[in-house]
Amino acid sequence: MDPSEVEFLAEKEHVKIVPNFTQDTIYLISGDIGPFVAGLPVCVPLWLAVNLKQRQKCRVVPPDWMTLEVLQEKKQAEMDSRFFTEMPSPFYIEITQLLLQCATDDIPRADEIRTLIKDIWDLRIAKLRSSVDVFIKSEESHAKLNFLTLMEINTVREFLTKGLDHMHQLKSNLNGGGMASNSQFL
Amino acid sequence: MKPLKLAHRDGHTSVCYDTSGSFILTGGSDGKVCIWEGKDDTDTTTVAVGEKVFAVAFQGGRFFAATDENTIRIHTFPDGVGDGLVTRFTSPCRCFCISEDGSLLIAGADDFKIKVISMEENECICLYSEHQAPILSVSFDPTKEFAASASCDGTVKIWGIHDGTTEKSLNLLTKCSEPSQAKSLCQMCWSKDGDFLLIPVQNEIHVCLRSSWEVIKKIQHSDVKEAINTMVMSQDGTYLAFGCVNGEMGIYHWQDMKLIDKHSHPKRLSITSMSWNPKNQSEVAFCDNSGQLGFLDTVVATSKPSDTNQAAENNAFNDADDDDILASANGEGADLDEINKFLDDGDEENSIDIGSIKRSLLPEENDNDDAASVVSSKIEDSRPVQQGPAAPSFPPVQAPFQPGSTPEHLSNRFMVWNSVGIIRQYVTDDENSIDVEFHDTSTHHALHIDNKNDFEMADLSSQAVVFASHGAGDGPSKLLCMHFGSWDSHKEWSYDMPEGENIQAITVSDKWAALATDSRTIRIFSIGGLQRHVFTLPGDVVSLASHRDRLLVAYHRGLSPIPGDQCMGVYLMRIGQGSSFKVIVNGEALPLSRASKLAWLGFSDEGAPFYMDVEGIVRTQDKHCWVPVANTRQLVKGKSDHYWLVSISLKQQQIRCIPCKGSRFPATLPRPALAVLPLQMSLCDMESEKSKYEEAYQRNSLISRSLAYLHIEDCEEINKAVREDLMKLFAFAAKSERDFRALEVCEMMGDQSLLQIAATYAMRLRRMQLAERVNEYINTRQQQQEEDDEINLAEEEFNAENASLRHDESDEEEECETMDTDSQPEQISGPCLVTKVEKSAKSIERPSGRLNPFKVTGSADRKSVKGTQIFDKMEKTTPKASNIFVPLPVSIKKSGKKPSGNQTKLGFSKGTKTAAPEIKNEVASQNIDEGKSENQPMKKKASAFDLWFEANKEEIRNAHPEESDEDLVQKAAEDFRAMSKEDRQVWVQKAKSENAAVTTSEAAKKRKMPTEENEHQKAVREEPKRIKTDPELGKKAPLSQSTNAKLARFAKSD
Repeated sequence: MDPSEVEFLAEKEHVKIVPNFTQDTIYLISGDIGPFVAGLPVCVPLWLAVNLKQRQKCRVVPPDWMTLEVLQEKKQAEMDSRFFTEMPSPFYIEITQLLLQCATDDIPRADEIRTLIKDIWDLRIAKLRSSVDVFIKSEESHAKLNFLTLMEINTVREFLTKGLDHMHQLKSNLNGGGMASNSQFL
Repeated sequence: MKPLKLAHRDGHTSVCYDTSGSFILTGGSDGKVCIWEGKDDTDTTTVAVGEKVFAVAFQGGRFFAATDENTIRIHTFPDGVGDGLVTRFTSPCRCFCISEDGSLLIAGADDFKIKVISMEENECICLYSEHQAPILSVSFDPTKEFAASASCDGTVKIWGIHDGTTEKSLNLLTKCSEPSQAKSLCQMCWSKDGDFLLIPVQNEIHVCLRSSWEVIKKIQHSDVKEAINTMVMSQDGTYLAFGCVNGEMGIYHWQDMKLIDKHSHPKRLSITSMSWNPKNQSEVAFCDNSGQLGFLDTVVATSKPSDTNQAAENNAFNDADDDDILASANGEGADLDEINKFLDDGDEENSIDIGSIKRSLLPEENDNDDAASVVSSKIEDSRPVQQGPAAPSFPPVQAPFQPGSTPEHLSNRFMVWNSVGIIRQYVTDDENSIDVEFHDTSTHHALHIDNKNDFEMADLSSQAVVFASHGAGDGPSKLLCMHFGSWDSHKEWSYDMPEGENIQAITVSDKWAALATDSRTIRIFSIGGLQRHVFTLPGDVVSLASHRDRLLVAYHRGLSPIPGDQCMGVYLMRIGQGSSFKVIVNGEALPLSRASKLAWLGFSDEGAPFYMDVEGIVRTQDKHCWVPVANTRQLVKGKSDHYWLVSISLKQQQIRCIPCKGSRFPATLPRPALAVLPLQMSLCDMESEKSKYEEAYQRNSLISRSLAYLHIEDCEEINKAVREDLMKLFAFAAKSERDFRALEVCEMMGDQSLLQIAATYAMRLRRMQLAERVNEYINTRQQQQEEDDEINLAEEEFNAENASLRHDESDEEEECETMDTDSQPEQISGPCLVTKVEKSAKSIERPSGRLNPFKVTGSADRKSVKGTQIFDKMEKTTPKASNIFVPLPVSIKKSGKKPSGNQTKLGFSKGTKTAAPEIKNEVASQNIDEGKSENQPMKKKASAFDLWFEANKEEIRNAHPEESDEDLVQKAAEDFRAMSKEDRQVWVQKAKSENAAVTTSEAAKKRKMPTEENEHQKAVREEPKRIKTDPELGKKAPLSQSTNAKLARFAKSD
């Protein structure tokens, strides 16, 4: 899976915007959007919010969790916990990325938020790597990780699954002798 | 304990007795000192001394009060005339006390200073400034040598009052930033001889020995759980009354460490002050933090010296040695060092005792720590509340404000935020500018204006922006309008106010701008800059708001007799095109919450007036009263959070506002986000399902009334919601078997169709009694309506006649010759009565006669209709009078047709005889097919039996001479039935042929004499009326049953 595909999925998340135009409800297959009344907040999918913002047609209202206090708390919780903690949004990294790209002016202290999100991301990825490490070293057959987001899974999926495959093959070569290895390298 | 007396407003209250013990003085946060004559007095004398009173004391025929003006004032007693000041501080003085002989006064203030003042010279003999925080309490050594003071810095300091040298600083209390947050007021007291200082620390009382200022013992009791706020020593020095922050009160025999008496405040409010009656040891007055005065009737008898002595002997550290030393020391006023030396020795002797006491107390002390911390947190919670509502008793009238603006002293502020846009003002040292931003960028692009004229007020509509300045300083008050909606090139106009007039409030709508000045003038300008109206308000303006052609003005009507309340009035007027000007609401009172101010004034998007007070209650106008439709304060998350109103939409039932955390208004940065609140009527018991339905109904019907009043189209949605709410209410009441209530719901239904649904629903629930009642109600309602219609119609006709008469009179001269051949039948001249008869006859004739000459007779066909027409027939035979036996579905049909009946009022005018012409239409056409004669209703009835009866009448009469006519017919019928089939058939044939003949001749006759129709018709109308009653009696019961069954099936299938 491509990161852009994950981002595509994240764009279906709803965010609040304040439009600067007035328009009736838009009827789309995925659901109705609007009506838009200038100055009144309305919930729209992220992709539309980004599009409108790029056309200077709206102001984005940052999600509740996109504030320094919440994120600092979240980061602290993530640091304190041995396990993964639940994120405020399953697409937190994508939403932050998209909003900070196009709507920096609407998000107070955008730089600090960017740093915090990056910190949380790094923490979680480090945790993920270490748990993969533990998993492989302990030679377990399965493991369970809670609260992993799609993007996080996506970063390790390709390498991890392939790596495990290889290891499996190598192991079966060791255990099963020539037969398996022959079939592999034929 | 006797019920408490309300003496003052919420807040710190203090109490003291006069020297004679017969008067009690209380001072509270309303700035008054009340003088109570004994504890049963209800009619008090009050003396206003300031905005707040922190402490009162009585001495030598005068009383002293520490006020929030940072002074201690002297007033004469009992008339309360001001008698000068004792002293002045730089911040409020919260505590003071006077030495027993009245020569010295010691006072501590929030500026960390304590002053000792000689009363005779009225000068400060010592200024003590060792404390690092506001002073909580001060206390005089009875020997006038030392003073003890407690402060928010957590220390209790004992110092010499003459030179201000600190003798001892004890770190006993918890630190806090200001007195209102202190856990305890820590009012200390001294033993009568001054040997011991008693300090309340949490729930204990620490006793300090004068010589060393060491804490030598701690008085405590398991029943005293919370921090002690105040203590006071009885006159003889034996008993110590104390009051706690949780309302516990008690009396210690302090030397014995015995709790003698215990009381509790009925509401568990914090006790802020206590005082012993100087003449009566069994009476203690106390005040709580909500301004109430109470009395403790203690069991303490007048002092028992024997007890005291015994106690003294029992007391381990009150031994003779100490007494002697202290007595000598005090008596001779010896050098302190010497005493200390002495005491050092003495202490060594006593050290074991003190140590053992301390040790015995220590574990408990530790235990108490936790409890104390819990207590402290509790107190911190409760403290701000006590202080909060203690607002000044007579607040100044509210200053004028712009709805949707933030205070003017802010450097970055909103000048206005409404449904059109936002205007922000930035005032810094080197910049004074205004930003106008429109929500909808298609209205206009954003504006940036250099604010050279120091505009402070602004308003924004979709056509123009107006700015105004107060005109303080040199220049006149100025108005500037930027009419960006103009199509010519001149977009701006401005006016200077006449000299002495300053603008206080402005507003702008699409068509005009209005401003109010401090000379109570309202000036209205057209949007292009024409001066249109000037009028005077009866009071100072509070705020203006506008929407399209409506102007809303809130103004001060005067002082309210209720302290703290604002007294406002409201004008609502319509300022239309040209010079049209109409007042809708004329200066009626604008209801506000208690002691509240106006926070927002404006219109909903649709134009209904709304306002919000600072308590967060949003109200709107319903007819001539103001209805609360939302309480924004109920919806806030934190206690100090508020909602700042921006706009309201009735149709969407939204209140758009900005949530402000910990303040009343938002800051400009970061840009605040709008929140949407629902409208909600404040009904009781909102958790219950019933209340929810009721609330929805009340709200929706209010909105629908409002919208209807504003002539807003497309409000079907809301009307539908109202109907749904009514049905829900009805269903709920019916389901919970509250039939009476259900019927009450029916009475709220304006609509017949709804009532019928309700009736059907009741049937379906098998609540027959209810269904019956509903039907009954439907009928009475219908009848009423008809009566009303008739009255209306009569009036209409009368008016019409008058009009036509007048018309005729004027035309008479010209038309007198042509009168006979009048081509216009309506204009018949003559006496009123004649006209009326003719007219009404005509009015009936018109709908039927012209369209279809046959139709008129429909009413006569009643009895000959068969089979499928049973329902139509029922329509006509349903009696007008209410009849509980009438089956419900019948009325459904009837009323279903009603509206159309109403539309053709003229045709309907003579009641139900000719009602429902459209039914007649159908029936008539069928009747004609069947070849029935309309004009001879009697003949039409000629059946086989009738013919036979005619022929054999005489015979039958002879056979039964004793029978009356009716019975005779019955007998005849029996006989007829008894006849053989063949015989009867003969008569049947006869009847048929006769009827056919009649029809043809009738039809022929009719075409020949159309002119006779009127008479015929009259006859026809009279006839059925008479007949109607007869057949119905016989026929109704079976018919009702069948229809009943039919419609019950219909209801079930529904």
